[in-house]
Amino acid sequence: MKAREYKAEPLKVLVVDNDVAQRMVLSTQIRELGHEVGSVSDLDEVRHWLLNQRTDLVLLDISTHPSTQEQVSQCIQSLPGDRWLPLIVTISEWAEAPVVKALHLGAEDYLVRPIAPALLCAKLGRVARVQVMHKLLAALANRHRDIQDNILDAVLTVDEHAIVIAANRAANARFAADRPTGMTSDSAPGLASHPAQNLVGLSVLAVTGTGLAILLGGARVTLRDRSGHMFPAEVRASTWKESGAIRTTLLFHDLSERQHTERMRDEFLATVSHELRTPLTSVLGAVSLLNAGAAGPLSSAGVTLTAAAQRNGQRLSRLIDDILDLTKLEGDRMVLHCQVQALAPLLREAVVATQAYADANEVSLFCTIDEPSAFDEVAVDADRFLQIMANLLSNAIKHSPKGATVEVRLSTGDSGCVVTVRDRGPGISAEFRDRLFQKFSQADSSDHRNVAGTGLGLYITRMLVERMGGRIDAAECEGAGAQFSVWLPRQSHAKNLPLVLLIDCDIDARARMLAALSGCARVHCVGVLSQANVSSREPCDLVLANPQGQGSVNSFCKAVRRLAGSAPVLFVSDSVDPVFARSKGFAWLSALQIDSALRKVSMNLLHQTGMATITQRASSLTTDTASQETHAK
Amino acid sequence: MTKALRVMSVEDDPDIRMILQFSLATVGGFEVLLCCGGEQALVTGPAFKPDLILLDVMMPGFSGPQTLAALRQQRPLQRVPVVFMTAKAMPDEVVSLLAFGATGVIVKPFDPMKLPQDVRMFWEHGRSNATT
Repeated sequence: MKAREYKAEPLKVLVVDNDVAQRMVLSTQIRELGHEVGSVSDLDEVRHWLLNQRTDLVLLDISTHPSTQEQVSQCIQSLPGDRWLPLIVTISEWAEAPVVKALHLGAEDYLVRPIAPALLCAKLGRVARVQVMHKLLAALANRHRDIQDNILDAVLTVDEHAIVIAANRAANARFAADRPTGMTSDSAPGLASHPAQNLVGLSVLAVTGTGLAILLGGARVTLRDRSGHMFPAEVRASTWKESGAIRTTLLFHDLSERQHTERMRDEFLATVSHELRTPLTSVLGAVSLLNAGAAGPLSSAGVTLTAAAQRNGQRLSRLIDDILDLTKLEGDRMVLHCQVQALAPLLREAVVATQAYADANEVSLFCTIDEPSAFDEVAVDADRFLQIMANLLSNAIKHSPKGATVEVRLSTGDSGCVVTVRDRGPGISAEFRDRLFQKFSQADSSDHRNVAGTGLGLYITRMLVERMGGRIDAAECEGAGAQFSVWLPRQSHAKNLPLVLLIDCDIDARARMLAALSGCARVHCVGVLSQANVSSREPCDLVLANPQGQGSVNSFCKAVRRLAGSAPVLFVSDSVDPVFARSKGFAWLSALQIDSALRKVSMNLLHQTGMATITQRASSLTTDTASQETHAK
Repeated sequence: MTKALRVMSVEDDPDIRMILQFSLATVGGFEVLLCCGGEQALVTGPAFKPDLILLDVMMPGFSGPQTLAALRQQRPLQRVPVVFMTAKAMPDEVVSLLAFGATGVIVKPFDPMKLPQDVRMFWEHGRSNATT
């Protein structure tokens, strides 16, 4: 950018000289060049002048003063710090030492008397142009700051060490802790720029209670505000470079209000469902009694009509159940009571429970339990597993032609148990497969479709499977029917294994931790601490916990310690740092290391506690697993 | 001949009360006392000497759990098994209802043809618990 592109404005110059004649000469020269001039005789007057007069340049004479250093330092100290105000020293005859010293101390330039008008004009012109550039830069910075400050969400910019290098007003208001109680930035405008108020220089962990890694990784996080209150937030991060250094700008959007609205919606839906079930009880009850002849015999037409009413009433009832399940699952308010148990008996029970529906549809059910899998144990909620199977089996029966067979098989899969349900229906078209497990998805949503349903069943099934740490897939069997597979992580030899209590509100993290510990511990998974159901007869051997989203960290630590008793506690979290965890007597692991180190660290912790039997079992298992992993590679 | 069970049912919805009457008396052959709320149950319950109490959860005035707590204060009803009937049952709600001291929970809509069977099962379960 060329300097001459900037249109310079006349400067307001202050001449400081104790010689009246010299002061007058220089002032006249400057005035003739079109600038405004003021003059004072000593430094004491400078401070007063600058307080009352807008000034663009100070010309300070250092000819007669015995100490250049003292004079220049004092003058520079009196200049305002919030903008660029250059100082040019004047000297009556050329002397290198004082001029060099003055420049070192911060003077912008120098002039030797007698000053040639052309030189004075050039130097003042240069100052005027730089002044214009400074004003433009300041306006740009102000606009940038105003934009940031008018964003209602907190915005923090951090460097590569996660130290805050910029914070907008919302961030300061939300996170800065040093504001005196009862004083807001509106009542004390100057306070906003007070250093104690500013978050700059603090680590993002200290500011928000959450480490950078998790802020970069998670879209939804729980943050701590200045009063220690935890609140849910959505974080958006963008990383950029400034002079080669990495900068990350984080925008935090408070989700408290949105979650409140979601909760209200859930409660409304749950109440509506309840209000629907009450009249349905009378309708279905009356129809059932009529149909059974409890109120006297019915004609055959009457039986047909009441059977239709009963069938449709039950359908409506199932729909209400699905809607209730959906609101609970989506609001993460469904509590699962997972217990380690063999899957085979549960599967048999599910098949028996669906037999009547299969008979009514003239479909055969054929259940195979592969020998090794009969003893495999998984951590499941029995009721919910039966619900999963009821959904898959009734789906398979519903889509099967009369006389067909639905095959159910339990087999041992990749570090888990696999239940497959295979039907001989029309299969799943390629375009529908992607939407299969989504909400309200129907392969045939036309008005004249053959098979009834709401499109919620498979969505709820998928959510339930995932909540138990498993996954569900549909295989390509177009033309020859469809095959659904449910995989659940195995907990082999479970009764001899240490019991691990896992507390994390993040479903994905729970699933990853469960997978990491698969085969070497029995894991009791809960989203929040209050759901933990630890029996005094069998205390847990290790607690894995993420304080993120569990309310006040200190209360959470106390509650975890109470629950764990003497068992070791491992914080698997980036929302607290290792120093904090250690201060509470807990071990710490970054959430980024779940897949790589969680298993090893957990086993080590169990070893350290001196639980001989457990550690023996665990070490033999770890060795087994290690060798399996080597084979796998 | 087995003795007819005496069942007291507390339910605010008149239509559901009618279904309960059919189900418990006509189908099940029980002796039935129907109450339209907790207050009535507290007044008439002790004299009826029920073998089992069916209690709706959401009722105006005394709720199901409040009625249960009040019934337990009455000496003749202290040990009578109580089964909640709810239209809002989810597994966690069932757990919390059982925590109030109920023997079981029956989910609405229920099948009136099967209800007598369930009631007898809960009565036997409650009786075996009381004797152990």
